[in-house]
Amino acid sequence: MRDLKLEVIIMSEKYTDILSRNLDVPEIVQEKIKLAFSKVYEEEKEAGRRKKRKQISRMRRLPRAAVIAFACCLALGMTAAAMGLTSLYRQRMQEMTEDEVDRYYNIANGGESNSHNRNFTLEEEERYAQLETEYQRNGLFPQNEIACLYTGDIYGGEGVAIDPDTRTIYLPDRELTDEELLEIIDFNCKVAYSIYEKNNERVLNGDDWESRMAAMTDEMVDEVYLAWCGGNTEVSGGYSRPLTEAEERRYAELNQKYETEGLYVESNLSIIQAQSEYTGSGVAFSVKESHYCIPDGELTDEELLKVIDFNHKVPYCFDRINTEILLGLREGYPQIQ
Amino acid sequence: MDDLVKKAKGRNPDAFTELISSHTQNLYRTAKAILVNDEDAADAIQETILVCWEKLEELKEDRYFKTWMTRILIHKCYDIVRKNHGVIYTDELPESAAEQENNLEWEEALGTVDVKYRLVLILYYAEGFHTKEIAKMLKLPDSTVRTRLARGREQLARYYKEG
Repeated sequence: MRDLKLEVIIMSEKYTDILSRNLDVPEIVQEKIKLAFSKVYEEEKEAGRRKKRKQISRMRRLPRAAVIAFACCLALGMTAAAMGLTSLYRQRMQEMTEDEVDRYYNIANGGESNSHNRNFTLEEEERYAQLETEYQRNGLFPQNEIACLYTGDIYGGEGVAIDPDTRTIYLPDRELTDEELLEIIDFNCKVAYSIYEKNNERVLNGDDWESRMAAMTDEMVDEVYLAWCGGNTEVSGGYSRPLTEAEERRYAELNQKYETEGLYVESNLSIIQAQSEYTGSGVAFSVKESHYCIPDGELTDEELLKVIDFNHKVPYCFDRINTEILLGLREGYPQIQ
Repeated sequence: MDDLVKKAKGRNPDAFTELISSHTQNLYRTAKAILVNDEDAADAIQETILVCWEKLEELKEDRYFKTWMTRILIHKCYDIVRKNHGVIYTDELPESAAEQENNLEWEEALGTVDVKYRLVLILYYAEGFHTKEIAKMLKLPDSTVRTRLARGREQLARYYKEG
């Protein structure tokens, strides 16, 4: 009996020895494995891009005021390059009277973008771009404002004019002069600025979370922007440990209340430079790791609300900075050290 | 290994490729227990890797990664068998499959075993799975797995005696 058992063991070892032998993996298999790996990297790269796009789109979601103004600038054909602006331009915009802002804002509501009775020629397009830069950077302004066609007026074919009801700009058949192009540029910039102003006004007068955001000072906006962008932005917004299912659920509930019922906490989330500074209690945003440091124990409502508040501030600050740059109210992005 | 699985689940491609690379032998041996042709085995392995990457988050317990991956591979191999209407499913391993010197003995030994016993033998002796795990993987009763194992062993023993 013992011999039989021994034989079974020996045979078993033999089978294991032969069947588990390391094989030479043929080239074709290795190549297919490599191919699969490169697909994995490719997919991850694409997923990263999608995540980034999603993150950016989240950042652009709020506030409505800034987004509208931003979209308007683009609709008006303003180029970002042409918007590194000077105080002369800023002054001209800020000196618009309330009535003027109202008037331009009403025109803006006449349509999402301008239409023209004819297209610009190539030369006019090029000249427009040059003059736009001059207008915004060097304070080259038109002598007059664009003529306005009131209800019933018919465009006479001379100079440029705007029909405020349809937001149609009428152009003469001949080539546009610099003065006429500058009048159009002036009109477009004032429309964009009036939208920005009116929406800011609306937001500031409200009593919701957007109003609290709009009341943030430039220093506060810069601080949030720099915290979010200062570290590894690929992973911004994660947590030092995964949220539990209960915490995820509570986050969603509180987020809803934050946005619809005005639930929030007065105190702000702390910003620390690295996770090593985190004491283990409360919540903080670590710049280096670009994530929220959270305690081991379950997050309290107050802690979750601080995170929610910060998550709302980030897109707001990004949008505000972008819009202010586009409108010439800010020289550039805050500098990351 | 669990650490690699955890990192791979966090969508870390470096960890994932390292994890799969450490299982290349397992993948190839198992695929070859079902598919004779290296090209088919390569296709099955490639698809398995991509499915693993896509579905890794669905793996509940990290320690079962190898079982999970092997199950996917077996499915992929049988898909290929079905696509080829079973023509690659032969009892005799062709000589071309034994081109590599190191693989010769392995393929010779396996070639002496009926097709239906090969996979069970490989999963048990080479991959170290228990009969219960194999039964779950192949959706067979445990008793059937044991029977196949015994029959496969008998055939292998004959090979050794004759050899």
